[in-house]
Amino acid sequence: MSFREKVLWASLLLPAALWCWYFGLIGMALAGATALDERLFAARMLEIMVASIALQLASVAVLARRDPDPAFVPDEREQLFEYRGASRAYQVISVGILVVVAGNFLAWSRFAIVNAVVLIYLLSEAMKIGVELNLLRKGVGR
Amino acid sequence: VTDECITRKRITNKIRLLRFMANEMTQEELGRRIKMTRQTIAAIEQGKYSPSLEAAFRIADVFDKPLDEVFAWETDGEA
Repeated sequence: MSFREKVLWASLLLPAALWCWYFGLIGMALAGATALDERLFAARMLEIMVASIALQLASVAVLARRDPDPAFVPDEREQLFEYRGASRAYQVISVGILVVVAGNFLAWSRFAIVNAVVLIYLLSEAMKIGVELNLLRKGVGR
Repeated sequence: VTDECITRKRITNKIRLLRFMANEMTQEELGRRIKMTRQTIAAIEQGKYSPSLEAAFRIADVFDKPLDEVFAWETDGEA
């Protein structure tokens, strides 16, 4: 597995674990199991954003130390995969924008809209990384 | 450009042979010399990825060969 592939796995799994926990808590609150304290969730969101960035930086540092020759700059094939991933992510964001606009017309709360925007961003990131990993695994790139 | 040209022709290469002839140079070593990963070199060798023109020139340069001795534009099954 190449250095870039390892970094991508870390960038996918570490934030995914944190955000799944966060949205799981929101789900439980919406289901009535716990109280939906919007301020508390806003604070948690910020904490997770900071933790997510810190974890990703730490994981890159650890992977770079373990790799004898880490390639920090992607080569042309990896860049091609990156563009393809970004193109798919753009589609997710486009649909997401329509959902948020519709939500606005349906009078969603500010809390719901903020979380929807974050979720759309996370889904687009997951799509980008997923496409890249899939192409790197298959090895194709014509 | 005919449809046949688009569907039946592909870029082939002799990188594997040239590596072997260059003191059994590894994919990793070639990758290091042209700033590419070992995985990308493997994909090029297997015909799964067609390199950019610049990368193709860099590869040919490593083996001190003209481009057309390393890469060819051939019909499937011809190589």
